[in-house]
Amino acid sequence: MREPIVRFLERGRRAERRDLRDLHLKPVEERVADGSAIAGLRRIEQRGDAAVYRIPGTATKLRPGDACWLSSGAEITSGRPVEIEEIDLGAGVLVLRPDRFADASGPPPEGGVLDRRNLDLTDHLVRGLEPIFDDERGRLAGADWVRRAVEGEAELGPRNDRLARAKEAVEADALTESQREAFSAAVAARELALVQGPPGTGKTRVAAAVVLEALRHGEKVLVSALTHRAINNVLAAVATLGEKSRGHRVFKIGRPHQGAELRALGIESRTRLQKGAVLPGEGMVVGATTFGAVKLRRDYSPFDLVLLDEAGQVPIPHAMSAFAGGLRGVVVGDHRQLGPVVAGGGTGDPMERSIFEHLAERYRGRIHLLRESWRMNAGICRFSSRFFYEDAVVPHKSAADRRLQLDEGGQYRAILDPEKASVWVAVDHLARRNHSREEARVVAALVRELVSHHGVPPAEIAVVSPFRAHAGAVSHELARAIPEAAGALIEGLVVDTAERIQGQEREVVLYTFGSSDRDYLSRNAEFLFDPGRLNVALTRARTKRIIIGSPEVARARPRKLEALRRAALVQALWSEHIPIEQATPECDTIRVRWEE
Amino acid sequence: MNPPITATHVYRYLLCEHTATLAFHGDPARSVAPHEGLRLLLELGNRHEASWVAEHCADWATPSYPERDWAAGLAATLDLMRSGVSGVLQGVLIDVDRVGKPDLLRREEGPSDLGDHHYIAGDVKSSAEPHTEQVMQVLFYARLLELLQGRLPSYGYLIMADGREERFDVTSLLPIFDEVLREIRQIRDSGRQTKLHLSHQCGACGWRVFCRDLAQEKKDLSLIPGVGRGTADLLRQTGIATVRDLATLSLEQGRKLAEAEVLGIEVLGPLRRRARAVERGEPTILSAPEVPPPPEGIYVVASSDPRRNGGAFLYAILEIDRSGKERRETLYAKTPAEERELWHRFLERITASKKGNRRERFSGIPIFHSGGLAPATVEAIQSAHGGDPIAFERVHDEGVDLSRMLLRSIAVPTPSASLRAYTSFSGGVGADGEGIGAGQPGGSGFEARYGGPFGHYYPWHERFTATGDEAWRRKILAAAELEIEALRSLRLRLHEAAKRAERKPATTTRGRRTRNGTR
Ligand code: SF4
Repeated sequence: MREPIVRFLERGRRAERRDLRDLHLKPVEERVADGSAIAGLRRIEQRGDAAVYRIPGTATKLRPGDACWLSSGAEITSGRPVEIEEIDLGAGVLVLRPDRFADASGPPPEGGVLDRRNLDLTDHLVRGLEPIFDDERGRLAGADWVRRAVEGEAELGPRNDRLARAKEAVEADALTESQREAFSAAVAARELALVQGPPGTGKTRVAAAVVLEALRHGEKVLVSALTHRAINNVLAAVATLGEKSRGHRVFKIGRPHQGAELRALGIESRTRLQKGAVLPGEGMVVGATTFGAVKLRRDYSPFDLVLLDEAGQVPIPHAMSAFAGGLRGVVVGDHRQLGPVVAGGGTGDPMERSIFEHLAERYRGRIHLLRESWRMNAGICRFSSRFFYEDAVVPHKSAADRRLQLDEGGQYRAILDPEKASVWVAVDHLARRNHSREEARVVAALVRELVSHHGVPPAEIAVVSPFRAHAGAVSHELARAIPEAAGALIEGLVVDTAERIQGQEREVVLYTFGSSDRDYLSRNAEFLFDPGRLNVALTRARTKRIIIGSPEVARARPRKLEALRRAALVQALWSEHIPIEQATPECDTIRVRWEE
Repeated sequence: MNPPITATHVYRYLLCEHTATLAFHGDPARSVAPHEGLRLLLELGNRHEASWVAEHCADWATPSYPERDWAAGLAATLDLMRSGVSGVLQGVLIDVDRVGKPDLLRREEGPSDLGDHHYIAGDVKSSAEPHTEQVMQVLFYARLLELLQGRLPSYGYLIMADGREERFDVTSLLPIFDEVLREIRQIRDSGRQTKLHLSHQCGACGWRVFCRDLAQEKKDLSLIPGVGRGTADLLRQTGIATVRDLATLSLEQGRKLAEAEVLGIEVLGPLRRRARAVERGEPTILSAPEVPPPPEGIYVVASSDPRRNGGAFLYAILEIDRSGKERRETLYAKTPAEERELWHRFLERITASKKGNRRERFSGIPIFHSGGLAPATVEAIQSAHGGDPIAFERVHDEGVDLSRMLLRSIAVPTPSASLRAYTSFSGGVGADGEGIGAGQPGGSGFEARYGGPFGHYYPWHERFTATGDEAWRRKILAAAELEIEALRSLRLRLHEAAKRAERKPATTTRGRRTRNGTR
């Protein structure tokens, strides 16, 4: 097992290094256009050791927690090593901290260009995995189940005492039927339980319930994920739900990202966990990223339970390193949404899959699927349910008939019609690769009408595109269409890629492809029509989904079989929107020639 | 009566839609025979099919019927299918306007008009991975089967070069296939017009001479590398229909197009420069290439078997040190078993090479190639054969793909920016006029797949291993020698271009650019 994992990690390390070096050789405009750099930073404030900068609102791949260089843009690697604490494109604000490990003296730079920095944690991760690779050490540490779990031989059956406890606990909780099943399985599993949470099915709610139940019995729980955001969500749910968590300590290890919010909920931020932080027999929850979990293990282990969230995005080795700190695992995620980002990926190596996808295959038929979506109405839910969940996901009765609330009138009534939960606005254009002004204008006009005429709060609208460049074009058009764009009128509106909006929901979502060059679409179909990306983009809306795209999108003919399958999915989406009344009464295609 | 549509029409249409126009409305006398490389590959494909069938389909039946009598062929095929044989080889499936001859029809249980069983269509292919055009051929048969046996096969399959079976779901892919068939019918019946578009597909197309001549006569936009079909259509819509139109586009016209948001100035600018290069027949610098200065360098030609994801059978190496001293070596493996050792020797050779000046990107003498040492390729070789990790990382991380660099930084007066294309205008080594792509539009993709622009390395290698005839091996070594020289010459030219560009910094329409800094 060691060899394929190390080979996979080494390949990632090499690809990352090579990519970054090539990237740093590009001129700054290209790096910005690519989304891997932000230019024009201006320092406006200092908060402790964190510096606050004003930034232009262009879309970017950079995320909180990313390691970066802040430089003049020319000699990148002689700049200042920093870490992103917060990034808010809407407000044009970025918060940076000096890198923990680098010794930089002097005041933070006044401004400059922010570039991605290679943070090579491969060795750290491999060291964290050694106890699992070594049978003897694994057994001593109580982590021998991890290897069995990954190989498909873990015990998923319930332990009777826990099962009885789970049944008793569940009565009190207002969970749906599928949530109850998943809860019981997760609480009672001997070694491993898998909970699949399609969009809006309340997986965080179930995760929190599982954690609370463990706490009630004095267990120590590690909540892990790849991102701080995911961990904070679960911890916050535990803290807010938990009458029962009262009296138990909840810790978060790592940078105090969203620190104030966590503190308000009674969650303690720590850089490390002291031995004896809690008494034996006393329940405790600790949140740490999969990387943080490796370090944490030196201070504290084993946990009774490791709950891994957003496991559809966690690579296999990272998941294993988190599991190694515990005696059993609950894996929550959805491999039908966005998968892990793998440097040097696309080689077909099974290691490139997420832990959830891997386990879903190993334990086929033994996953607990959450079936009721509280988010999507019937018209929005249908496509995703059919093509990604074998028709198993249904809208919860409270959501099924929900409609977008609009005022009377409006110029684009036919498109915004609340009775049409999903429409495809077919915009004719040609040879556009990664951005289309034509579509951007349609989006801007629709957003303007939603906000100005119908009073839909901007924070309830998201514009999603596969291309960062197209998101940029949309922002530009929005600024033109709504002169108050920089101000309050569209504050809170999200214009970004699907990656950015995974895990979130809005009343109205506009998904705009921005491409119409058939050859380009065909060449890039594997990325563009990635089913996980498509599923995420199509399932963020509660009541109204507007797809904006050229009909050419449905005519891509990529050469590779896998990409062809993906193109077929988009063609199916297009077909769904051709107005055949009996088949899909809530879906419609509207062809527009946009005149301003 | 219109001629029937065959699976081959579908296959070719997916590679270039213009093939359908020419197949149904062109003059067959203008179509030419496949060139040597393709011919050898076709022969190889036939041998692969024959040996796979001999091994796996011993009890299958073949319909017998008078040559090209499709009705009789269909009757004989249906007889066999009704009788429930385990499989039919080269069956005939026809309908009013379609004729299909699947390699394989395999019996499956489950009711149909034939009884308690039905048939599934498959084809034998000699590529490593399944391609859409191959899948669509099988869907073509699946649709015919649906008519003839009253049941749509639930899946189709392809037998790949390594003998594995690739299955795919039929129902979910049919909407795409039906659309393709509709488009082909339109071309055949209502004369829907398509345009020729020179691309890397042309190298393997029978119409390549016809299309090249016509493109040159009409100064077609596809003579310009980097102009895809979509861009060409868009330009034509705005009245830019020829290379000359684009080359002579005034700044004012360009600005108007940009304002009308037809094409951004950042796209139009470089395209116009590429068009000028084609129009004048001379290369033009687009941006300063990042090529390390001569003389030191290791030039490598590497070639592997496209049917296997594994090692390479050829590494030709020329090392030039700082004083200009040259060392040559060619490593060649007769059998796949020898490839492992060859890779290890190649890596040793890299380790033994002079360290050279350390630069930002290079830990030793820079390594140049033209795609044969692409990161994904060397990853695959290393994971198949293992080897000194440090040398491997050097090859992986520091290899400089000169063909890619050429494409990015120089506008060449040829329809593709391959190494072959470069030599054809440089008049230097390698312009022997014989290899794949020589005198043919856009041979590069084809070359890249089958062993580099200077030889049909792979088919020659296959011939050598099959026959032991030394002449094939000599051809390989001689071609590699030429390619090495072309690489060396290209590197020098790129370096000169970089120096020239430095003297006169490259400007874009957006303003002056420096390498890393802001404007
Ligand atoms: S030669 Fe090229 S353009 Fe002409 S039909 Fe063949 S592939 Fe198409």
